[in-house]
Amino acid sequence: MSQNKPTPPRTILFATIFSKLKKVLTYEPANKPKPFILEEKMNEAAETNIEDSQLKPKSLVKKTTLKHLVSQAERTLEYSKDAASYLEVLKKEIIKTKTKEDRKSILKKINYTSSNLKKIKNSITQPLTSFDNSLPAEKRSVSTSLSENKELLRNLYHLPLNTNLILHDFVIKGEIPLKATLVFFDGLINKEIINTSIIEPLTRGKNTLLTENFFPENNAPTQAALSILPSHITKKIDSINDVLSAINIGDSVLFIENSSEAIIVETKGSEHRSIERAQVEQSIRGSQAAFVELLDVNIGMMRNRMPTNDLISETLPIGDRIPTTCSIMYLKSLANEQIVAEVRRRLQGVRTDFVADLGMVEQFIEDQKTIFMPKTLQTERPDRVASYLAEGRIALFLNGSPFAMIIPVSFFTFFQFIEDYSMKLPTATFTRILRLSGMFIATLLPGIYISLVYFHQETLPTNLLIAIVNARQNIPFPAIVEILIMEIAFELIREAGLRVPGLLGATISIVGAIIIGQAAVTAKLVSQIIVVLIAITGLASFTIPEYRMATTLSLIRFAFLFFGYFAGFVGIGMGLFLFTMYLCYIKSFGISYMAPLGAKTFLGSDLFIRNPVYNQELRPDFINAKDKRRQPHISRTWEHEEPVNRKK
Amino acid sequence: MKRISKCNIFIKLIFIFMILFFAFTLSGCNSDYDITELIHIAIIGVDKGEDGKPIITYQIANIKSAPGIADNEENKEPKLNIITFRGNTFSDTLDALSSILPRMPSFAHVKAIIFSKEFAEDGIYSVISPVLRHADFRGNAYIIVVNNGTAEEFIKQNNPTFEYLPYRYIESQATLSKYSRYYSKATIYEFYNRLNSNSSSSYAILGGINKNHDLNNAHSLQEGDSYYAGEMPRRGDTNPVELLGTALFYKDKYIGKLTAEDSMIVSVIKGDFRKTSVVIPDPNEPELYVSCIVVLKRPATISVKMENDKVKINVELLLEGEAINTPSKINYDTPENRRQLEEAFTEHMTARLLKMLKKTQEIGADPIGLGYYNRANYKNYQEFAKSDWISLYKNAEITGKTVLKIRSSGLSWNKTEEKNEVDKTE
Amino acid sequence: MSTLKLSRMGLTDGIILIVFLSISRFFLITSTEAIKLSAGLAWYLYLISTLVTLIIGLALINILKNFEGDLLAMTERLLGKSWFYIIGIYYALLFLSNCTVLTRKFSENIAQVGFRDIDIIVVIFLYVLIMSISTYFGIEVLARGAYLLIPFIIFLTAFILVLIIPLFNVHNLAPWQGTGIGNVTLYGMASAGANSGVIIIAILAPSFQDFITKAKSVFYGSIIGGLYKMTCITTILLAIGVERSKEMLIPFYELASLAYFDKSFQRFEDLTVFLWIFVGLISIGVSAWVTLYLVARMLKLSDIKPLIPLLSIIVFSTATFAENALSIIDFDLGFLKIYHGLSMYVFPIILLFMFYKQKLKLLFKKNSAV
Repeated sequence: MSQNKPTPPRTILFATIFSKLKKVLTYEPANKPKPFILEEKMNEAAETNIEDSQLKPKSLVKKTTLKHLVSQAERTLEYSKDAASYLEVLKKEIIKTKTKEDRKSILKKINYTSSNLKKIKNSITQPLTSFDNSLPAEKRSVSTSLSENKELLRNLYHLPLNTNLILHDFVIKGEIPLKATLVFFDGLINKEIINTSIIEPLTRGKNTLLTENFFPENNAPTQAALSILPSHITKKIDSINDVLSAINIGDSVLFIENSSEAIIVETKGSEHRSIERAQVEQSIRGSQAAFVELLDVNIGMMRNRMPTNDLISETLPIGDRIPTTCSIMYLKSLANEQIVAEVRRRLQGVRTDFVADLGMVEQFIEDQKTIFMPKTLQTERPDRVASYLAEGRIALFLNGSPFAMIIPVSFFTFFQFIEDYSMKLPTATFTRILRLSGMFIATLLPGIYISLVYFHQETLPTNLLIAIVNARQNIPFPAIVEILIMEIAFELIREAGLRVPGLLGATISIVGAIIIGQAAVTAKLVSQIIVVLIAITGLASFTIPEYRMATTLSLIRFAFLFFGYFAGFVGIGMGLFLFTMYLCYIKSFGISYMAPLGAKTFLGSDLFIRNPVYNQELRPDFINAKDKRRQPHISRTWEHEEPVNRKK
Repeated sequence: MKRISKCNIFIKLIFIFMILFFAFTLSGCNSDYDITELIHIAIIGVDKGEDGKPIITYQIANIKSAPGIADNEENKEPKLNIITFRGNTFSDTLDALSSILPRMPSFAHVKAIIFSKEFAEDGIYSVISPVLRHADFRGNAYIIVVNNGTAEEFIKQNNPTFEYLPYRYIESQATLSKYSRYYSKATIYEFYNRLNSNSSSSYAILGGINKNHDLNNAHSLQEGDSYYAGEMPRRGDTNPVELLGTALFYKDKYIGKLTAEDSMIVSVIKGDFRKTSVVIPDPNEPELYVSCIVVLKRPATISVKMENDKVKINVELLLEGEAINTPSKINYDTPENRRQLEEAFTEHMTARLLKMLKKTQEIGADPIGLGYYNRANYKNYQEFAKSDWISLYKNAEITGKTVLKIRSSGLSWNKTEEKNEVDKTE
Repeated sequence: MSTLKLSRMGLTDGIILIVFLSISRFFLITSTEAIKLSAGLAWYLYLISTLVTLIIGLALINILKNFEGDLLAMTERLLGKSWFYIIGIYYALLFLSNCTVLTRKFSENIAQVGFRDIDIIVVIFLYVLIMSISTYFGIEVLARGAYLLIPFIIFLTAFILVLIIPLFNVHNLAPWQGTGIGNVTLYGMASAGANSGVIIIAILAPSFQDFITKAKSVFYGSIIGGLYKMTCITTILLAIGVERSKEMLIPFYELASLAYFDKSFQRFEDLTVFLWIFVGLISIGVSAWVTLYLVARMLKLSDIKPLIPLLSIIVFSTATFAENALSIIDFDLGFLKIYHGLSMYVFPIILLFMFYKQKLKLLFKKNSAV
């Protein structure tokens, strides 16, 4: 066997190169499943039967083997037999006792036996008595023995290590007092509810149900407790899995002795950030609220904004080891069923440990993973999400992320902003065209400058040409290096501005402006024209409402810069061509990225020119919503009626 | 091999990226020139040497002394550099220029090509065609023929007072020919267009170096034999170089010139410019002069008919007078007087028009482009290609008329007493 | 063995494909040739060629609606299996030659205009590289991208044309009959072959929805392409005149050099570089893709992507074959007349003839049976 002799590096190199070349030159059509393409004609009565199969967390507790249980049972049986025989002997002796010394010695023996019994009890792990004790811990049901339940929870939560989990034992008052345990995570719960709504009525209240006659009923203790608790959300469960989920999200679980059902009590009350102004997307005339990190609060904000029974919020957990809750929201009568089903399918097919951010979710569920343009919109404003939902799109929320993700979007959606909704046609159109020209300027201006200076000097007016030549006479670098220096400096300033602590922010900006702008020019490192150019480019890139699109376009700006440097207008033309083809190639959730222009659908009235609100009658066509019309033809019906003071 | 197939897509991308990268780096880099590696030629002058070989003068934009630079010290550099070569052809001199200059010469911003009269008489095609075929060169440069002197002198004496750079003078002057109307804008492209078209003649701007400072025998531009470039009597602090008149060509050879006034009429007929002033002797008092500002509101009505190889041309102009200036005390507002004035103007201008047309016929050139109107008289293109417009033009019968209608007279005349009191009402 | 699958294309895609394929040759030497042939009536020549294209295209599509499948399937049904291969090879060669000739000529123009001095092989290499990338993307992406680029093209053209208006001289179009109306009509019909891009709609018939989409795309596509060419050629004639425009090598470029707005705003000819790049790359990409599609259809392959490197090498080596610019111009003009003319006239007329003969036979049978 040649397992001791390592293969020489050259063989490995040759093999890798050969295989790589082979893969590139010989092509096999990949045997991939069909890509998700949205069909044009919708089946109106399409009701898909999708079962929500929830992910279950993997088992954390080692399975106890049957053998071990059997041995423990045998030992207990043996000992209990011994104990029974010993108790028989003691009974006979107690009957025989007459004198005090005899009673004392019998007491001693009883003490001795009971202490032995205790020792043995402590040494034996308590055999678990519920009927499914061979299953792993999470798949089991709640056992009737309170101590067993507590032992199980201690194992699952690694209790001596995990100091946050509280197992609060108390006794439910009644004619026959019952032992109960309340389990919750300290920090996730609202202490007031626990104290006043759960513990107090159970321990102090009048409980008339727990009588001797009550017991034959199944799970009578649970019924009794339920009748006492004044909390508005209580639920009976009987599987350990549900118990875990409930505890993990902040509810409390009440276990009662001799009951095979536990009660979940809603006690969520963790601290969270209050609703503040939007940090990233600011508007002058729109609403100022923004999402927070807690999923429930966000969904609550959305429901507040769209109070309808049509608004559906499905929740799914994502992440195997640490599940994070993700929520899909859509309007049932509008959103396309196929897109919803596809989103659900993709989310359920995500296998990872932990999802840290909404951006990660996007990277998991987008198609064509190597393409770097953003294919979903992320926003932190509920009014924007509401308007997109009303168009028939779908929103995704993640617990812990104050952003919502809108799918499906097209390229032109990134240039719309909430301000447009509150402005009339001329101003809204002008602003939109300004943003689009901002996109062109941000992408193309340095490239065009470089190609003019290097290749097409005759296009410049003569005076400008002489000015540029003069300005560049004393600069030691060629034009391309100048522009690269300024570009990199600008990007550094922008990135540093994100991390500078607030106190130093103003200082850094002044320093940056003075250093870059003035000193570099006076020191003849760069020429004045370049400074103006880069400033205009930077400003133009900030007009794009979506941050990720702006950073992507910055990358593309560098690409165009190099195209312009190497081949002039020819290079920029070829670069524009390739970029346009690339954009048209992208598909996101079944619709083409450049819809409604790339794949031509009905244009709608919201692309470049923003029609007045009463003219926007149809939804965007490419979303294929169930109902195309959002307004009747006449939206201002009061215009066709008589005014108030003229009615007879 | 599973590991390799998983990163397959990245390998492919890297391959494509490398190919693209090398394609681009190998390609255009060869052929770009940094902006500081070029020298821009502003004006080219062509003279005729003793044995007929061309002497070429280049005027180069000296970038050290351009406007818009925050220079603190006094600018002692000459504004432009003038270099003169002699060679067998135009390209020889271009080689010589490239060998001297530290940078590559570029024809992208050539503003004017100036020929001397002697060189132009031999034909300028040998210079124009290589320039035109040069990839850099754009056809918007102006073409100037120097009336008295060589092109080299012209370039050297060009010292404008209102423009910072000499070539700007030519550019502004030529561009604003609609305001100063004594020549027509002539670009090389237009020249080349008309060269081979069978319907008109090429022309160039006539330039000259002014040496005439004798104001005693001066007469107005519109009187008698008007001036050619270089002959206008003036003195003072202005550019010694002036542009007045038109040089006429047959194909590419220089055959004659038109005076300033004739050129003005040519531009009026072509519709290039609209406003002029006309001065005639007062019909009632021949010692004084009446002047009128006239505007061409409608294009000229030209009809060209052909019968049996004889061409009949009729040119009619309608001018409208906007303001008259009458130093004599006669009231020209009354209908009879006005009609009299109009008739005087009409007669004067018609005479001038016909004189100009006859002169072009004698010279044998058609700068107005009357031949274009003749094209419609042919049945199809083959017949048209067989004809020769210039010979037809020389034997053509030309009639013309210029009608002037006075629309308003600026100030209205209101005389209250016979003595020299004038009440002005507008 | 699975066959090649086509994705759906709509009305706009069809229109755009025809428009680009018909105006691609306009920027090269054919406009000068048109002026040489017909002097002032060049617009009429384009009108006639557009009408001929329209008629033949609509007739083809009309008989195509009786068959499932595309042009090749119909040929097989009407004429037999050998004709399937003949027509397939013929049209594949047509588009391949289109691709090669366009590559060569556009590269020459670009090498002359866009760069100062560059070896033409480098430009051909760049073109072929981008052609292979766009063929990889596929024809739907090309059509969509072309639709996005059309505003640029129209804007640039309109910009230049509007600035040329001060130079118009109506008499440049005279003598009004050009070289004779009858002559010009004949030349127009002969040069209809340059619009043979109309056959694409028949080749890609299964991806269009129904007859009306195809008919509309042929109709609007030919008309828009024809209008564009007529406007441009009339502007060239009006501004420059017949004699001078006969000598132009790159007509649109020289037209653009006349555009003059102001002292400081005058040299726009380098913007026409964008026009050529967009139109050229799209036409070359579409031609290459259709070639590969026909080959895949004839040989029943399942995907065309493996053939792309091969096609690139073929196009590259063929494009560098010609020795100088003039020889390729002569070749192209002769080739257009004969080969494209055959494809435009002969084959469709054969198909029409066979179709109607069959229909007549059926009718005769029905009548005789009764």
